[in-house]
Amino acid sequence: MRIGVFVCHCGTNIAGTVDSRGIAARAAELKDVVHTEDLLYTCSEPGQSAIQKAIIEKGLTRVVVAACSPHMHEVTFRRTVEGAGLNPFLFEMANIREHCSWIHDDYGLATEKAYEILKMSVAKVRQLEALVPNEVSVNKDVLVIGGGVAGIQTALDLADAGLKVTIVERETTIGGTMARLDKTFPTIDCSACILTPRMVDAAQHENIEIMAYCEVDKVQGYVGNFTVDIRKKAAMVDWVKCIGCEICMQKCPAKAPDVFNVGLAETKAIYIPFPQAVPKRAAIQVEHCRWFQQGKCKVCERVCPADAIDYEQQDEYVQKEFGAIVMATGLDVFPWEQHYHEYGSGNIPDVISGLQYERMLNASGPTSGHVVRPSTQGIKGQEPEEPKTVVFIQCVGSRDESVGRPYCSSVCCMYTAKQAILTKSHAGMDTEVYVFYIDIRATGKGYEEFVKRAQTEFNVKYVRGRVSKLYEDVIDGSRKVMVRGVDTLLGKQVEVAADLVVLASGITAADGAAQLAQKLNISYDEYGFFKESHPKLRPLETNTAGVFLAGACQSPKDIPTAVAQASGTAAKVLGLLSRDKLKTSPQIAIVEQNRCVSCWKCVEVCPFSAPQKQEQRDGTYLSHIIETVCQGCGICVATCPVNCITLKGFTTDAIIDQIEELLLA
Amino acid sequence: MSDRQAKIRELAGAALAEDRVDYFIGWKQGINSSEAIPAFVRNADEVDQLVWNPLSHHNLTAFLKRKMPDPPNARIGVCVKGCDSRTLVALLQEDLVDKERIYVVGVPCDGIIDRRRVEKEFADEVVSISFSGDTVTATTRCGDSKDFAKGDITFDHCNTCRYPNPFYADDMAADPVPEPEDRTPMWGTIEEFEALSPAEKDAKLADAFETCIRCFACIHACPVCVCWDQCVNRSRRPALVGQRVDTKENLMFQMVHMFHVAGRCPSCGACDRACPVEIPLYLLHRKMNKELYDMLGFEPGVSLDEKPAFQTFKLDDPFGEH
Ligand SMILES: Cc1cc2nc3c(=O)[nH]c(=O)nc-3n(C[C@H](O)[C@H](O)[C@H](O)COP(=O)(O)OP(=O)(O)OC[C@H]3O[C@@H](n4cnc5c(N)ncnc54)[C@H](O)[C@@H]3O)c2cc1C
Ligand code: SF4
Ligand code: SF4
Ligand code: SF4
Ligand code: SF4
Repeated sequence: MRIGVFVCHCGTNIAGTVDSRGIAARAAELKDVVHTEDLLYTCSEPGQSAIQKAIIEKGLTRVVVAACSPHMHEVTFRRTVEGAGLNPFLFEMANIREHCSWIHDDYGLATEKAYEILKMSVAKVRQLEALVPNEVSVNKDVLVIGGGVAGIQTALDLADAGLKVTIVERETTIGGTMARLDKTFPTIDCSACILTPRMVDAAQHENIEIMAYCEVDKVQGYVGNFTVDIRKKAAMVDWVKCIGCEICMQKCPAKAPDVFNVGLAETKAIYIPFPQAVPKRAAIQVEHCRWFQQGKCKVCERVCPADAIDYEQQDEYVQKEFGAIVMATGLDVFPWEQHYHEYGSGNIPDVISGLQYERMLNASGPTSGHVVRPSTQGIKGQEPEEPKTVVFIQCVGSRDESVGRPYCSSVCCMYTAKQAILTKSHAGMDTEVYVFYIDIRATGKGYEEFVKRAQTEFNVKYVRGRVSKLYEDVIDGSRKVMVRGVDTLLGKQVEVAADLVVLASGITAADGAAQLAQKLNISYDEYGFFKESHPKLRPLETNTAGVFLAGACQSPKDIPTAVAQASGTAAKVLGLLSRDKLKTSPQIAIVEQNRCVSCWKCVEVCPFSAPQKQEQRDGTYLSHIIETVCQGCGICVATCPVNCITLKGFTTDAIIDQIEELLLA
Repeated sequence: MSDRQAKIRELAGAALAEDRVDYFIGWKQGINSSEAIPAFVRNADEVDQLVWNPLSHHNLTAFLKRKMPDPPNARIGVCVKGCDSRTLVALLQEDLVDKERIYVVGVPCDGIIDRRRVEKEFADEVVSISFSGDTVTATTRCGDSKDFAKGDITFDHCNTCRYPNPFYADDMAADPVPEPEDRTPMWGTIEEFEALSPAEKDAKLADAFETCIRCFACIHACPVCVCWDQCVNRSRRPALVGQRVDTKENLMFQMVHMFHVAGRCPSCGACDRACPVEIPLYLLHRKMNKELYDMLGFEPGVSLDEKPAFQTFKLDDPFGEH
């Protein structure tokens, strides 16, 4: 065995705290080490050439590079050694940067620790064996989960490129949040006007199948070969027959809360969320239906011209195969009512959320685009009152540690400015509009100019400060929402008697995002946003190969960013699926069956269902790991009580050798 | 008590006569009346050897573990006490026992006596133990005889037992006995151990584990220990535990066992009772159980639709907070 050791300086990143040259020289004493070298930047072209040169000239059979994290450059160096004719798995990386130089400042001690890390890697490299990747064929169909603007964009891009795409959307229509918006900043163009044509494009595209009112139930398999169980939720309406005529909805006697309009209006037990819904199909909300709750009614069945109502319908499950999966589950609005008791916990009718206000501004919304005070709505013989003073409060559920949301929701400053402008144009220029803000974040193209216009052209009064309390009071005989806050620029308490208060409630991950992430084995942060593989270098990928991200499911985003990212993701998926075969990592787990005691712990713990109970000739069962399914995570290896599972390239013996090298040598 | 014994015989007899089981596992008298041992009954006319008394300590579910049934597809009848039924549930949770192949007779239990405590009262060998109400009479070979109040010589874990009635059984040998309403576990001696300083803990463990002779009775008796002759403590693959018998290696051996049964050990105490040199193994496993209970509110073997704590996770599991 001939081992070569290369120690990196990483400029001063390592060499500033660790004597790279010194430990390289010392490594020459280690058993089997025949070549050592220190390099300024090992990952650079000269660094990599030096490794290749040494492999060839000195006949090295194993290589250790002591440098940064394997996350950073393991792949780079595996390629380097392969280029010089060595099996890429006869390479081991010692992390003396993240694990050592960056976290210590005592030169002597850090150098000593770096040498110990290096010694351990040499101990491990001796135990490594050449490994050869497997090849698997690739399914070229793509699953997009979530049919918001991001999901639609990815689907259209992929379908245009010739791939078959399935969009699974849990609501009865695609469109997502954008379908509920009135206008969009900074151009104030009509949201529906730009979105609905895209929704229709998706529905009509020969390569796109929209599965609305469906949810992903189970995901198995691996990159290139996912098997997904999809649950078609019972709509109690046969969607093949339904023509979306809305007659049932008009005649249904049972009222139900209107989720699409964020509770500002009521809909019927049988409903179609909005006129431009895609697909435009009715569904019954069973918990509000008279037939289901009281056993009487069946009006919809009687009036439906298409004979589509089916009260017996059950959830259905379908299984489909995909090569890649795109997550596009988007956002939900922060449930401020549960957290902001100082703002009335949702009990003051004239305090509404930004999304509710979007619906109110919308011409096809519950108030037909009239700005009104909800407290004055629905009173017999009285027209709803138009507010004279409107107050916007920013950062409700954003940048607020006290409600566990330290992050910026990134769109609220802008949509507040938009809504402030629209208030003036809907309710008249004489309407008093205040915006309470902490900072204004307007970093996009044309955004700062947009906010300036709100302030100057539309005379919106921006007050810098948080609002500490909202409460109702009667002033001169009329009911007001008192807004008490502080103007931090003037250093004064302020109080405004408002007719309407709009909270720029922040953005949070879609309800159920974390549970979905678990089904797909992708990481998510404490708020439920899916984690990208690397914030800078792999922002569209997840840590699970073949699963990608698009839109606000990754972090709060506005539409331009969500759409740009969605197209980027489509490019990534195309890159992956342009190949007919994929190489699978050979670093996977394997069971030594003659030692397996059939305790099934591996079967239980594997997140990918790779271990199977395999029937033996004598009728007993032993564990067998399906090579192409195993992701090499090692959980089963650590779990197997008899230690009969080995992770190739990461053997127990190698680890024991490493520990012994550290503790005994 | 004899009612239960009669009922066990009746149920076992019926199961064998109707060919619902290939054999029935219960308890029978050992070499003399001072002990009960496991019984394997294969014919309906042999059921009269089955006994039930406060010496029936063996957790018979140990014979059900995967690969143990002989032949592997045998249909087995088995008696379980309350505590043993927890083991059964633990085995079922892990699919280590085939529900279809077992016939379970549940025996409500009033507590098992610790025969060792009785033995220690005499210089001579105890050859007979008899019961009358709450009085236990032990007699030695030389004829020494002594009466004990049953409560004074029951096992510690019986005194704190919260599950005296089997909660998994096909048939019951008697009506349930009264159960405690509060099922919060009592940890007793574990809490004493936890109060010690690290050095004192070291010393206590060293003292306790010094005498192990590596007879492996503990892991053979353990009903949820599954590794058999592949046990890392014996196969030495990988060489985690040395052959040398000394305190450190002994402790390492028991630590491996503790971790293998972590989240699975239903606190039956079989290991403890099996150890010939009286190492308090139960304490180690109970300590792990306490950790699990404090952290996850989890108790092994109390619910059929749960998974062992370390083979699953929930989104709101607390980690690192303990
Ligand atoms: C009040 C408000 C005003 C805004 N105004 C503007 C603006 O003026 N300009 C602008 O650029 N941006 C604006 N935004 C931001 C904009 O809404 C988002 O950028 C955009 O909607 C993100 O698109 P998306 O597709 O990622 O997510 P979404 O639009 O949220 O779509 C996600 C889709 O996934 C579906 N879904 C969720 N979970 C699942 C699941 N488990 N299975 C299947 N389907 C699922 C949802 O039903 C939804 O259809 C505003 C946001 C808010 C809240
Ligand atoms: S290493 Fe084990 S647990 Fe991990 S994916 Fe492979 S089989 Fe599953
Ligand atoms: S954990 Fe190990 S012993 Fe148990 S079934 Fe899996 S491979 Fe076999
Ligand atoms: S470790 Fe001891 S107490 Fe726990 S199940 Fe095994 S034998 Fe019973
Ligand atoms: S039963 Fe006791 S002596 Fe035997 S191996 Fe177990 S701990 Fe050691």
